[in-house]
Amino acid sequence: MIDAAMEIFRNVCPRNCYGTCSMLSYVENGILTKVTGDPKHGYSKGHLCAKGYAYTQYVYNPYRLKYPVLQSPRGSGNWKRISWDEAYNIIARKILELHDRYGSNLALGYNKFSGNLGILHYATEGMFNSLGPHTKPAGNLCMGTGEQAIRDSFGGEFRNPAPEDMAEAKLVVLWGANPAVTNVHQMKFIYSALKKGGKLVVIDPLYTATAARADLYVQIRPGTDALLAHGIAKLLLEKKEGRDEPVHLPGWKAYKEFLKNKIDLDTVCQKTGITHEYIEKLAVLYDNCRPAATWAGFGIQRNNHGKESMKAIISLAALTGNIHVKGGGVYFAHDDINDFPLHLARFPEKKHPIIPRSRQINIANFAEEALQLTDPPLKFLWIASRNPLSQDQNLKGWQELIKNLELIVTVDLYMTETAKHSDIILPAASHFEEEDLLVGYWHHWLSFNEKAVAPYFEAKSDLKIARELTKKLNELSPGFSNFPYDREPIDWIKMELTPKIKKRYGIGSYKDLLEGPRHRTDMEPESVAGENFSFFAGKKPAGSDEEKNYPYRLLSPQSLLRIHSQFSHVPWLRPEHEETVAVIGTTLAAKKEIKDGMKIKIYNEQGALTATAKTNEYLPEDTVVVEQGGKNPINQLIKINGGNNIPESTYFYDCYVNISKKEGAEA
Amino acid sequence: MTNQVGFIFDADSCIGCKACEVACRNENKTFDGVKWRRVTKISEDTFLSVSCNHCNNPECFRVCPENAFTKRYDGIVLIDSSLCNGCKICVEACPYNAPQFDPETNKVTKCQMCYPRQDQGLLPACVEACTTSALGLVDLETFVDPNAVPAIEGFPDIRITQPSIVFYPQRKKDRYFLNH
Amino acid sequence: MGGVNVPEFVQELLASSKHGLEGIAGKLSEILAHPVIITDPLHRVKASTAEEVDPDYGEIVIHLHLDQDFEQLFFDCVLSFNGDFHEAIGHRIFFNNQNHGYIFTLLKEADGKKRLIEGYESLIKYAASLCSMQIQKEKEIKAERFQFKNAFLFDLLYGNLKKREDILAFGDIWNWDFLQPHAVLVFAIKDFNYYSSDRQLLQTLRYTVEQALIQNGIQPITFSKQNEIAVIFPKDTDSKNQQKEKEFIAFVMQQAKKTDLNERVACGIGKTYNNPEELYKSYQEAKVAYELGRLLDVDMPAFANMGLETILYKHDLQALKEFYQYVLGDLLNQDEDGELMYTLESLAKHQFDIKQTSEALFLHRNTLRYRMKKIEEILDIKLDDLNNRLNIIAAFKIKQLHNL
Ligand code: SF4
Ligand code: SF4
Ligand code: SF4
Repeated sequence: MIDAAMEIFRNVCPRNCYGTCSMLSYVENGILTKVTGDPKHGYSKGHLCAKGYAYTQYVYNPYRLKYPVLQSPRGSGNWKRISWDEAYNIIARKILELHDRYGSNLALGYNKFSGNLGILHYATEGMFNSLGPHTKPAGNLCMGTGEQAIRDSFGGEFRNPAPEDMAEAKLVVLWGANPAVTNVHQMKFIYSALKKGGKLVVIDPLYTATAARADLYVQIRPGTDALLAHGIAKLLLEKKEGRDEPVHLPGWKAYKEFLKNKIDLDTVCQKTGITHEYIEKLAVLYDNCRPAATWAGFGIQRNNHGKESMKAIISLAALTGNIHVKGGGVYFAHDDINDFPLHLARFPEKKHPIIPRSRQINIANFAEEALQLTDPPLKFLWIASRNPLSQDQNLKGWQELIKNLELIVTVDLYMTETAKHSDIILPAASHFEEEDLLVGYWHHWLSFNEKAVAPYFEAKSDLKIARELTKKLNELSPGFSNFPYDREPIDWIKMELTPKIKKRYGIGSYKDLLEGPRHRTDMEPESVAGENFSFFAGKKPAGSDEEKNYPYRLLSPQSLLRIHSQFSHVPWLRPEHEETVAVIGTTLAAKKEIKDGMKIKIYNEQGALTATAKTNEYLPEDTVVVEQGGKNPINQLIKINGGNNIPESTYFYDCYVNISKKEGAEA
Repeated sequence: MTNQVGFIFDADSCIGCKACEVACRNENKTFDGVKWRRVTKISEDTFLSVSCNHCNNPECFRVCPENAFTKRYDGIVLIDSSLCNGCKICVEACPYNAPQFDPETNKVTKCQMCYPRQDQGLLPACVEACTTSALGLVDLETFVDPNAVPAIEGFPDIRITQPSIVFYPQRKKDRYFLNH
Repeated sequence: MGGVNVPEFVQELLASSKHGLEGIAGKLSEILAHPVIITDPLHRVKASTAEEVDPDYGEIVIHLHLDQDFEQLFFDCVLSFNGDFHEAIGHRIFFNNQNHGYIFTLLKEADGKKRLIEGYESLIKYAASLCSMQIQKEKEIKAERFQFKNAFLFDLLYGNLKKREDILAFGDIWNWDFLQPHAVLVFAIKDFNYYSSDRQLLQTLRYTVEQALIQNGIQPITFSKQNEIAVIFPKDTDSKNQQKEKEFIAFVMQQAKKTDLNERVACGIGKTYNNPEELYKSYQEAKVAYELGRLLDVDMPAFANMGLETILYKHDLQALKEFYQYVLGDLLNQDEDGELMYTLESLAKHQFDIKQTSEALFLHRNTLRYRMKKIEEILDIKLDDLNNRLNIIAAFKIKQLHNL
């Protein structure tokens, strides 16, 4: 209900989520009282997810950090409120001291990723660049591998059809994607395809909430997606018998030879676990239903066959004539954001007389690589928009790294696992308390985020902190930073809206965005069908046989009411059980004499954790599922051997564990 | 002049996302443990989103010693919490777990079908929130659809109370499981 | 009766309809030179030019000729009223797929039946359509008056009126005396299909109930919702005895059988309350009684008599199942063809009276005794123990109530 005293603002959910939903914030006497969807946002169409509707509790929450705090000694839990000025002083003096000690800022590093995807949140990157060469994370934890596969297949482009167009598909294949949990707004477009007679297929090792909605669900052994795609392609090739083959597409011949000579259907059945009958069913659907939209989810590329799986799926789509076709295509994500100037993210690095540029370490293997740094070692770590101690692999590495660091500063809204291990925590503003500009990585809408309420107590935005800290540094050591700290948020935003960008989104100025979000106007595929496309060009198919040091594969998907570890302090989103829950197959449970509700131990060489067992008859027998986040996060058992290379994703699903009944455990 | 607004729930569309449940709290600011709407998983592939069903024969209503319940002409069942003495008899009587005891105020509250919104021509907050259109609002006095059914498996017994909710059941689907 | 100038009569008939059904009956009778009776679908007289018929709530009995039925537009029949029999031709007033009543033209001794119809077929049809318009109009007028009344009844039955003075004041408008004790009765159509012509049946039910009230000298206070008609039924005292209600219900059921409702009506009786502000409870109770009655196959279920059933219905299902298993489990497991179970169920139904049960089952008493012995062995209990009997009765009620 709308009262006269109520003001309404436009905000945008900045979480690392497909939705990037525009929202309307209802503010009464300066207090955010309610949040609803923005009907002008054509992707979410006026809806939010459960987390979105709980935002008032995220903003006003007894656990939210109000002031800068200092912990001494680190890890003791002995926190003391300090003023911002004190905080800046401590931090700035440390930075200057390290600079004096090592002659550069290379001992300074940051770990920042996707906690808030607003364009102004790259202020952290800008701030570090303004100091000159330092240690910066590179890569993309989340979707690097998939992105590479797409660029390889599409001649360097990383694009995504408009997700709204999925409504036009005659066949929707969700391959390792679970929108019912991670991208709820996509479901309505899928349903609208179904209403028009389309079919929904879900291929996933887990019988997810999305799978439950599918006309056809096919369970697959984790990590074998490439084989299944090749298998379907081979069947289709046989059906075609030389008729309308996509001979014009680059790499066709090699791909065809590969399918013919290297793919053996019996092996495919055996490795994927799927019967011939069902592979045939999938082939028939791809053959009969056009256009077919295929969505390769992030899950596919969270193992070391991810790249091949992605390419195999893309090739299958091309083989069936579904590339660059409205209602068809391959969905994954896109990088529209890179078409913006990104003045903060790309803030030119201040020159150093000797050191040419910053050193990079792989964010997907941050701790280990940071530990290896010498000359100088990493001594100062700034963490923003991240909670690595709950989310990263190789927790032991992190514990080691923490010991070696002289100052850890975390910017966050809450006392996260990571914040607990910091020296200083700076309270971050929520997106209702700052201005920002957001563009999605799934849909193609651009939205303006207004400042709806004053910051909570002493909270500040990343940009504000960058401005104040660089100013402080320059006061103590003139010219230390070249950050333009006088520039206001709205100026940065205006700078992002170049004529090219304004044309793309059909706006005259940022003010148009205050009336509602805007969609990209230039959505026609720029490359003519397949001009830059090329087929999968492997020599031999990836096997599915892993080196398993432990018998069961651990899958750690997102949970419904969180994004990674975010939102865990919101009472409305509190799960029914606080404890860590491990889902195990019924047969495995019987074998291990584990019953529902029993406490079990999950372990591997990284350690052990206690979880409550939940049996499920639909889980593949060699799989254990534990959702991310929570009080006792599962990442403590995840360590990827040798780490990954930049720019690969973290192969979270290449993790193996064993389980056992806890001593004396009863249901 | 009287009608009966009711919910329509499509079991084939609901993904259990809980947006409806939280949107209700966002709208009505209910205390922590008090859930006017609740989403549950009733089987491996079915979710249920239930609030008060504004029954034709509200049991809450019959058993309340304080006569705290009323039914509007549009069928919405309301509780006047100021009359409630906190005895919780209605909580026991309702098959759908709709009346919720609020320990903060020592009174029972429940879904009021967002009547203030409806009176302004808006949909209930939960219905507006549902991104899959699994949850809808209909006037049962005039609603006609041969595909609709009065209950689905897992929904509590509808006899006696005659809840104002209708359902679309699940379609049959093709499944392949590794272990089966 | 040869050729007639129809258009002229049409004018006259139309003019006569200003005076309602009476007018139409009068004019038609004049034209046909035969007495005419117009009735409602329940054969109650609405207008008549036959001298012997009392136009206020008189009822006529219709005997159909063997080869005729009411579905025909015209049918031959014999009417009986006031102890006399009269040959007649009936015509159904059928409009909008709904039966609104009948027009009967009484024949005179000398008439050859067919001849009367032949000349006036279209005229009678026309008169029928005028009647249906008239009935429609009456309904609309009623509906308007009704709205206000209905709102009051809604508030009364849903406890929205919390103050007694308000209720009494409203009641006065229609001369309803809420100082008297009342009970609520609910009549409902079984297996009601909301999406079909069942909705029209509800109108018939309401009409039937109201007429029955009037015939019993009770001022009708009725309320309809979904598949049910609620009656606010006056009682002389707040006695627990439901004799009066039951007699009335029996009468309604008998009347209903004459209509399309046939056997589809079931009912429920709420408790009697002195205070009108508590009547909403009686309404809810009547509905609960209705549902329980259907489950337990009771003809005239009264909430006041269903204490045990209500408890068993509400109680936690798992606990009830356990109780059922505990009492009858052994028998369930060992009685392969279900014969003993059936026997025991009949015994319980007949209060363990051997004579009644053996008659009901067409069994020799010795056979029954033999079976009882076997049951006692299997269950390892004595059937003459009152506690055991109570348990068994409760177990069977649980079975029925929860479809075990
Ligand atoms: S659902 Fe429960 S609380 Fe709501 S009207 Fe029905 S019985 Fe009463
Ligand atoms: S109708 Fe309103 S009060 Fe009822 S559950 Fe939905 S949002 Fe909550
Ligand atoms: S919002 Fe809709 S889809 Fe989500 S749980 Fe509620 S009813 Fe189901």
